[in-house]
Amino acid sequence: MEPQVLEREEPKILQQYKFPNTYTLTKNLAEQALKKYRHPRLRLIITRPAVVTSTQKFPFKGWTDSIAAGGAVIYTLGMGISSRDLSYPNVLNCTVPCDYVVNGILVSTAHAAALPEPQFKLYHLCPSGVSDYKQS
Amino acid sequence: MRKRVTDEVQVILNTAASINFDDPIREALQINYFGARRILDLAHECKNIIALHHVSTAFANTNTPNNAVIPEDVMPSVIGENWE
Repeated sequence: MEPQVLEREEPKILQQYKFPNTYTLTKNLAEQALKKYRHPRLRLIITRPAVVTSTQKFPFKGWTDSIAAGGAVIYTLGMGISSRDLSYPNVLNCTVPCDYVVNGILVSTAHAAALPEPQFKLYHLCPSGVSDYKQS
Repeated sequence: MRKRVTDEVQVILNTAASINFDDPIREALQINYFGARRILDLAHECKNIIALHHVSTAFANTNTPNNAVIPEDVMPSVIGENWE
């Protein structure tokens, strides 16, 4: 497909397949491709973290190197730069501390490497009602 | 350099992605999709590879209906197998 056509068709593609943005769509496609083209002898692990925020414990409480995505909301609210955050009243905000995600990545990789047979594994790194909060 | 990587690397952790959610679809595809494909090719080239880890996102299946349970597995393709 021509690049210009692709740009023009972007809103239509997102709407047709019901994705809110290009990030989620392309991440979805990447998962499909990795599983499809994986060599049977390769151990492939995919993790799906939710919104990653600052650390809970390691290397120290509250460490972060990025104010992108979820960090931007927390940073601007915490510093008093913005006082309100507009969102839908019933949408849950699922966040997970950065060190939990890193531990999950390392542990799942080590576990897969220790398995006798190479296989495909997928893990969710999301809170289950423990740290969900409504953004309104 | 590439030879050294393919000779020595045993584990690959791919955490790279563009988290600019509204990138033009071309850039998002290049980074998030073709980036992952290239890493997979690299992993297949590595002689001593043990594991490849790819970090996706919990929101990779946001096209499913509200309150749907998302299993810990790759969902069937919504776009079809031969969209490329």
